[in-house]
Amino acid sequence: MDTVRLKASWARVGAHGDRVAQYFYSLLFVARPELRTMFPVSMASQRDRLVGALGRVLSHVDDVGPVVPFVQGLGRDHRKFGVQPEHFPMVGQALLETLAYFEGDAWTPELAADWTAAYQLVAGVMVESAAESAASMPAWWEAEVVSHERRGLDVAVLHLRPGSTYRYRPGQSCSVETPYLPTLWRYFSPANAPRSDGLIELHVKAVPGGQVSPALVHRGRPGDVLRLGAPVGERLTLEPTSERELLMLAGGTGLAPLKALIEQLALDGRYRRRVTLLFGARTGRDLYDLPALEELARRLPWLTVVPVLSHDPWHPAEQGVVVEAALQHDGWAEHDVYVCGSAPMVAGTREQLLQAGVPAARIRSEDYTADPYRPDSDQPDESLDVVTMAVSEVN
Amino acid sequence: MTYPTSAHRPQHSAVANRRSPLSADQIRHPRLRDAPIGRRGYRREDVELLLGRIAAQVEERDALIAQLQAEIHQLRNHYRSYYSDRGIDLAALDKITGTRVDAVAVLMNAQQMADQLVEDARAQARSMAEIARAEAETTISRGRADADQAARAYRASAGPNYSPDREQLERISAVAGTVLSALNGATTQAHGAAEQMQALTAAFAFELGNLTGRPAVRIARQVRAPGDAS
Repeated sequence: MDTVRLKASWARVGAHGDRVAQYFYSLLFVARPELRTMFPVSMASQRDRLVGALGRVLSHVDDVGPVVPFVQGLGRDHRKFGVQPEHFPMVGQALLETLAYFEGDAWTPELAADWTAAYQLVAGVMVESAAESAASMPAWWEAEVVSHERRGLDVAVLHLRPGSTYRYRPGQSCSVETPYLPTLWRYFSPANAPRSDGLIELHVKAVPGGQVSPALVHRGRPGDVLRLGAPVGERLTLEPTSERELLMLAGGTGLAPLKALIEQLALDGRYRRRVTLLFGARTGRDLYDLPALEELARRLPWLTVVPVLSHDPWHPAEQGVVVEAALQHDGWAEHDVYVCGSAPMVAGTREQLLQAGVPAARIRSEDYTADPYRPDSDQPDESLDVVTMAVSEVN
Repeated sequence: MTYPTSAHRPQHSAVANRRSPLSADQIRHPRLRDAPIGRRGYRREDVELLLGRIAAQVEERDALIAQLQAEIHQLRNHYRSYYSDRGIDLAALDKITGTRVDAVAVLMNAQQMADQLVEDARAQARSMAEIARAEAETTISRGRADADQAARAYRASAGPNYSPDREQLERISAVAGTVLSALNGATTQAHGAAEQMQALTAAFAFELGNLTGRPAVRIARQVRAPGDAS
């Protein structure tokens, strides 16, 4: 495999922009119409993902070591989309023909051989890691909505009962597919520590212009059966060995994973570290889970809950944004700081914490630009869904 | 300019020269040297008979190949003119074996339109949700400001008759009045929801009348009903 030739080829093809992925998927669906139902109606974000993943693999084609975990992750993740080993040759064929089409006269048998080898490498790793994952867990779990409660203008709190045991750690997220919009998966964080009855609480904000989250809030009802993908994410989970006290900064439904962490700490009877949770929202009625938090604070002497409102000057709560309210007090540098909210909220909070002298290593938040939450770069509407993970739906 | 023919080429034994394919004629009239004296060869008639049959078969096969090539040529021309008449790049078509280029182009267009429609609908939904929230927040803020103003006005005019309960009623009344007129404004814009909102407005006005001791009619009149010209 001539990697220099391969990269040069990708650079030439990539110069055709969005048309490459458009052509690829159209070719694939003309050749294999039965594959179309595995994809959402709008293919816009799908195309970015394909091109992004290809680019990432190719940039490491000289030394595939660093990119193998990414490809393995793709293989595991594609199980929930219903991808089977026999799909890979179909995709490979469409990919080669797409490359040949855009390369025109530059397409040679040698180049075709390079691309074939590169694709077989990637496909082989994906098939293998999918098979390994299939040995230990299902491709998805079904979970029935057992309660659906609207809280305020645009938030719903759901309780799900998985059909079989769903193991996750507080602070992780799971991808969710709804029966209303098949093939669209979004990430949400359970808002509770695993319980003996197996119920999972989700906090969902209907993101304006979003797809899955408005459907879950406005159309969801008890009896609906959702699908859950395997839990992901390590950045918001508890550091088991840390002795430091905790500062938690939540924006909107970004509260969910932080509430799960508090429940986890409460389950550990030996727990003695102090936790300060600042819960930020726009107005008083957006404090959608305040009664439950106040109940926790009454029960747990080490927990302090402080609501902070950004757009409600008449309300007696703290005013402003959460990080500013937190930084009115000193001494956070020795805390583990957990931040969850919209992408801009997390970015802004992190920056102000760093300026105030909190070490970067102590600040824990989801990185929405990294896997598995990679946003759709040129889809502002879709990336709003990303925001929600914190805010609990992520793309 | 003339091309050399076989007659001008150096005279080799056609059998010894393995590079050029034998023609039927060469098979029929091979230049074979005589066998050395004392050695036996095949019977000449048999050899000639065999060569004749081989030559006939080669001729037959050459004719078939020529015929097939002519057919391929004809088909290729037909195929070229079919696609070039439709503005389709044949060089690309030659590479996309087994898949129809025009079907791919149609699907690409359809998908682009679908993506655009989805994007537009989402942008529209986003803007509606944001406007609704902003209006609701503005209305509540205005209501609270109106309540403060009503309370100040009451305290200024109440004198010795001041009662905290009465001030609270003034506040409620002010908030409710503001909310009601906003609701009413929304009613006149949202045709689908008009009746429902109107009913809500009326019920709210009635309840408010009970709360404040003021006749519901008076409060309701502050809120112009849809279709009421006055």
